[in-house]
Amino acid sequence: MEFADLFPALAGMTWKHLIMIFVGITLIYLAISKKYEPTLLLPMGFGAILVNIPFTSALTQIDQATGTEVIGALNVFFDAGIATEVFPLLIFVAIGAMIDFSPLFRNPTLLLFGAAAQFGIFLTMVLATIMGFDLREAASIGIIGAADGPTSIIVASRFAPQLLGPISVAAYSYMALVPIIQRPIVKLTTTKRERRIHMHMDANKKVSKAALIIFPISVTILAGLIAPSSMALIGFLMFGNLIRSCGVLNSLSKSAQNELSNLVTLLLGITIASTMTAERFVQWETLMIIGLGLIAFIFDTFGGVIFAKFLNLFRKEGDKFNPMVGACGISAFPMSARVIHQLGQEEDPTNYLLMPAISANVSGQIGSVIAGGLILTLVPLWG
Amino acid sequence: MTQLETFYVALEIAGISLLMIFLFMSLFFLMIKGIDKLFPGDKEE
Repeated sequence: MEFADLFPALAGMTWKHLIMIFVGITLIYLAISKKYEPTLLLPMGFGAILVNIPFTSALTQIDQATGTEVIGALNVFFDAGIATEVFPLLIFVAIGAMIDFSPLFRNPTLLLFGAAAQFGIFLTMVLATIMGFDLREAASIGIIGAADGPTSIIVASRFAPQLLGPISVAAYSYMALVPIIQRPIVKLTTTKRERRIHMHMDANKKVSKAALIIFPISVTILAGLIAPSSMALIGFLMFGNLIRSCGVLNSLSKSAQNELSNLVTLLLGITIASTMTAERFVQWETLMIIGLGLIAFIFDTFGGVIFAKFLNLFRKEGDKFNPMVGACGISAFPMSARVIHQLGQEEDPTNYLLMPAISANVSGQIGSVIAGGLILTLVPLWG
Repeated sequence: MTQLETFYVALEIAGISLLMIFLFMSLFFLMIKGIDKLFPGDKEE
């Protein structure tokens, strides 16, 4: 009997497998030690180890003795939860139940920042085509800039399932790194004087319960009529929100925010890891995707800030936007709002930007889902 | 599709998508204004 027969995993181990096990350990380290999106990076890191042991039974294998296929548990999860988009859509129900839209009612103009801060998605998509990716792959890479994990997973699983692993790792890692990415970009693109602008917002304005109930229903109908392909994304998000705002399903709302969110996140992370096999992941493409993802986040921030400056050209003195708030138009909630509030306080301790920043951040959550829906609608029309 | 054609298509999709996101957000803005006017908070709560 040969060594390979006795210890097939040891004999089958290559440098690529070792790199992936190192990647897995790094993700676990970042999750535990640095607390970077631990709910996702930890399962993904552990899953990366799980799928990179040669002949792992977590993935589907051919039984050497009988020649029959032995289905792996992670493949079952993938087919049931990712290929069908069920896991990310359930996460959307949970996120919807966590969002409070009332800050948007207090300053609806900030909705426009949720559009401007999606600029990085589309710039990155164009850049990715220059780097040789096809249209569907480029769209999947660009959507990393949505700063919204479930949207990235849905677009990538539909357009470029072979890139799902690196795209998910990039999306969740950069979301965790928003405070580090946004700070220098915001400082570079704004002057000290602009960072000191105070924004007046009626924090005491009450929003009626009826308004909060009608809003998710109206958004769903309107978005569905214009872009029906976005229905699953927007519909599930708004369904979660309706459960929250209706006031008669408090128990379901709490379950969506806690049990559903936790359970699906746990399965989502480890299932995505099933795509992080050495053969797929250890490639130049992965490094390019991670680099392009960073560009997407940088230009989202840039887009939001520059758009706020543009709007200020038409606004009266004393009623101008603090351009930093534009950067909150990305979906990373509430990290982005917190960063901008802190930056405002550093420049002027009497400047409280948290309320407008939260409003812009909530609009970013809507904007990212709309961006995902539009990509799902438009890309198939061309390629 | 050649790489150049892909690039132009991506550029086209990017432009249309950005315009449409602004359109959506503007519609949502009008929707919020309308809903808030029809169901003002101060009267309800």
